[in-house]
Amino acid sequence: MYIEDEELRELYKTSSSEHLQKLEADLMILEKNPQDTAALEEFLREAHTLKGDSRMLGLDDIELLVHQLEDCVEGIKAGQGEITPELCDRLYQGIDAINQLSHQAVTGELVNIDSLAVLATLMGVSENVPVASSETDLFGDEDESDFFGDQSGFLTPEAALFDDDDSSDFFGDEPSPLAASLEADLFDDQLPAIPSDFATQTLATPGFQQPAIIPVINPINPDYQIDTIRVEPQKLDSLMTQAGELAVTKGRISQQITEIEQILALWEGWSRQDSSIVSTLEQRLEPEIFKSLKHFLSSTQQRVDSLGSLINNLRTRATEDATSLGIISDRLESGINSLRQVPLGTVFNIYPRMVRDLARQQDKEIELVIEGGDTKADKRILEEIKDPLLHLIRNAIDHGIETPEARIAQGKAPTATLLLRGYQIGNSIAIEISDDGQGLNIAQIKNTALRRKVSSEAELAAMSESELQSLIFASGFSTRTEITELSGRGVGLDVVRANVERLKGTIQVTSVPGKGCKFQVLLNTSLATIKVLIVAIDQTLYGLPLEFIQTMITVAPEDIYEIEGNPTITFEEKPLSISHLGRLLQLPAVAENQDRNYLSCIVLQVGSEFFGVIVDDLVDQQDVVLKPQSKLLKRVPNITGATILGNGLVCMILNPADLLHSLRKGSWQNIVPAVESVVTKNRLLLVEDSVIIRTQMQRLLKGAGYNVTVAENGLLGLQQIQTQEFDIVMSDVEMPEMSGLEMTTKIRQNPQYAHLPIVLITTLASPEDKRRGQAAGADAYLTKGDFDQQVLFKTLEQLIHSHHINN
Amino acid sequence: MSKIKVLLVEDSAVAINIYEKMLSSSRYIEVIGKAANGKEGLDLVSQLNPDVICTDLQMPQMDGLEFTKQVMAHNPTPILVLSNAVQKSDVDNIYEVMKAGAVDVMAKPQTALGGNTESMQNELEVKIRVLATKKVKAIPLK
Repeated sequence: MYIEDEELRELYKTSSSEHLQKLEADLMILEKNPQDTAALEEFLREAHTLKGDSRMLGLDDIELLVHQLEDCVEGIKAGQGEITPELCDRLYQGIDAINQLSHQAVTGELVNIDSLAVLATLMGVSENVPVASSETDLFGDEDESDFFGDQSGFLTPEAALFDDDDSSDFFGDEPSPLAASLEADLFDDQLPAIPSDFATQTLATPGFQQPAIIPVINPINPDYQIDTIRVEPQKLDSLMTQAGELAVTKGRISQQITEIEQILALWEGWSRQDSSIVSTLEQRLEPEIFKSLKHFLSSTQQRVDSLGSLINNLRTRATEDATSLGIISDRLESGINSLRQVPLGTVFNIYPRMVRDLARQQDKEIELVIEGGDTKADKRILEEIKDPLLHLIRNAIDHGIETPEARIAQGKAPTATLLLRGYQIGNSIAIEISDDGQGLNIAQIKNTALRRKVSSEAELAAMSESELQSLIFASGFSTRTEITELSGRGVGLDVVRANVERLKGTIQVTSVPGKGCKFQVLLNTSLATIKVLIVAIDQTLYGLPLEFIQTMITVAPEDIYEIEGNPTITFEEKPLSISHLGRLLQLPAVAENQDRNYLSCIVLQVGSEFFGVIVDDLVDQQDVVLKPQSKLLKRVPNITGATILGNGLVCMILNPADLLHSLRKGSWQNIVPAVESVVTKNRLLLVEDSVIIRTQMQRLLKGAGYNVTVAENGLLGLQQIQTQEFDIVMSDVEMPEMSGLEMTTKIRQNPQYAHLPIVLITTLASPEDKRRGQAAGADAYLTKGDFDQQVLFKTLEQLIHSHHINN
Repeated sequence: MSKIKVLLVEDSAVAINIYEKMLSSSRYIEVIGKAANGKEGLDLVSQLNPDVICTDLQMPQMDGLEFTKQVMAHNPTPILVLSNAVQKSDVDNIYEVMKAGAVDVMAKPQTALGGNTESMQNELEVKIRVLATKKVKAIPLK
């Protein structure tokens, strides 16, 4: 199913995603507050419109599923059954499937959705909730006037007005059971309170506003105006790129002015030439000869003069043009930048569903409160902050928020509050995630820091409480990679910090034990240009981002000594590893300038680490527009991107975090996810009792370059571990003789295997099972049900990688 | 002969686009205005004076039934109701909207993945042409 007509495809793309978003939002409200009639009505109306559109376009599968959604909710409206979390689960699944199908309809990409199976899931609900499966039944059962009474909800203008303006939030907050009634008077009573609320809501969601009237080709009314225009983000991106190019062109034009100035200086020298030689010649030469010479000289003089006035004119005009070009391009750029500003709500809206699913999975009760969704930031910031926020929220739910029982035992309300708040401070925006859970455990942080060798005992003793709390962001602090099915991957907070820093932001944590924990992310609102220091190595220019540069110093060659074979200097009374930048970049070795007395050294700071790079020359400091690498290049070590300098030269911008990695002689093998390139095969022990699964997994893992040893149960697995060395263990949970849990516990009892990565794979997916797996000491817990090869390989790779780093 | 001036009242941009595509090829019909709900529709009726109005039933702010009542009271015009809610099972809806003064009802046309289907297009065109010949009398609001 693919909509052939381009115009209709675009229309359907925007309208269907809006309808689906609203359906989901309404369902969330209904789940919390089943009495919310406004949300119920909106749900039905959105579904109806979506169904109508899909039907008109011949998207039968979508029509069928939306109809079923409608049916389920219609039944509830008619008083048959009620909204249960189970019903919501099914409806969410239905919405997800419709989402995918509509994606297929607008992109043509095939999606793997079995509409009939989804329909069956939705229908399955109708067995518990007595919703009749066909329309005639529904109407047949109903008293005619009742049915019409329901319909009047749509037909009352006041009621319709409320529905349309997405007032569901407003009513959602109304605890009054009266809100359930559709009495027109009730709405009238509330009218005075509404306008201000509506105004803010309308502003907060400009993306959802349909242009009031669609324009006619020959507008009869001249006042007729379109208020908003929808623009695809890619178009803005390409405008942004063009604006960046314009900035570069501007730079080059200013460069030309310098050249004009040089010509002018040359001319000035020429026109002021000493003319004494002419008088000398006049005396010595015969008048006849001198006459022709004099004629030649005077015509040359005239030409020089007119050349001079031309150059002067050119300079004046070039300066004027460059100035006005500068003003225009700056305005264009800031204009486009402001177009790309999107309300934070666009991202925030993703989380309520996730929080709800996670809370249900872990048997926790969580209320997510979102504030400041209308704060605006650059589109790219929103795109890139989505995952870090997701991990912080996950983190809060997984580790911060307690189960309702535990909360009651501590005298807290059983429902935890998770606050997601965005606001503007000057030129930055701040995003806070705070929970009222158990907070950070300082003693545990200290233990982990010691165990992971992040800090020494003495360092810990000297740290303030907030410094201790910040340790959770240190790289290598969280190595226990917990893989859960929802996010599909686990990352430590160090990765979150790295992501935030890539956006030139900062992250802070404050926590009160037992009371809760707050993460604050501060970000710059604009990202278009970065400040770099331009340095030269072997006459090639490279840029180093200024925010990583701690200081620049000169080093005498005799001050360099070696620690463990690495060149080192003493900087601020501490040893500092240094290296020639060319060597880090693996450039061919150039005969180093031995006759220099001093070397230029740039001290870089990455996180809390310092190191120095030696360069040939410091050239300039500039604002540059960073061009990301082509998507064809997945990852180029040491290089963030490139820029074009004012003189037209391409300049690579270096990545200091990578440079540090290179300095430590880190391998780039693990960063490039090419399985074939794994030179030394990792040894994997596979413990699984089912022959079929064992054979399949073995083939899969061998294909991915692992050296696989198999064992049929925990006991045999344990024996294998004692006889050979492994890089990772992958095990089933339910097995005869000895279960995967027991085996894990036994392995961990031997201190030699304290860090051996263990992955449990199982059909048991309840939170309780997971907790047991974690308690036994497993590093990851994957579910067979939604088994995904990519997730598996990534998990294995990550665990082996961190295992190697730890050893 | 001048073309029949048609006003479309419909909240779905998708549906509007489909109607326009169907009607744009007609020699007899010209779409002179589009409104996203009954309220906007009413404003356009008095401004544009259309020959025929095609309206949806379910719309925000003002639905098709109320819109029909208002039009018939103040600017009587032949109205064709295009709605999914007028499929055969909904006898009451048809009754209500006809009672309010609409001349004819028709189910929203179905297309094959946005492509054009001639029979639907013909049906819509013929209905509009027939409606254009009807004289309608004002029905005062109760």
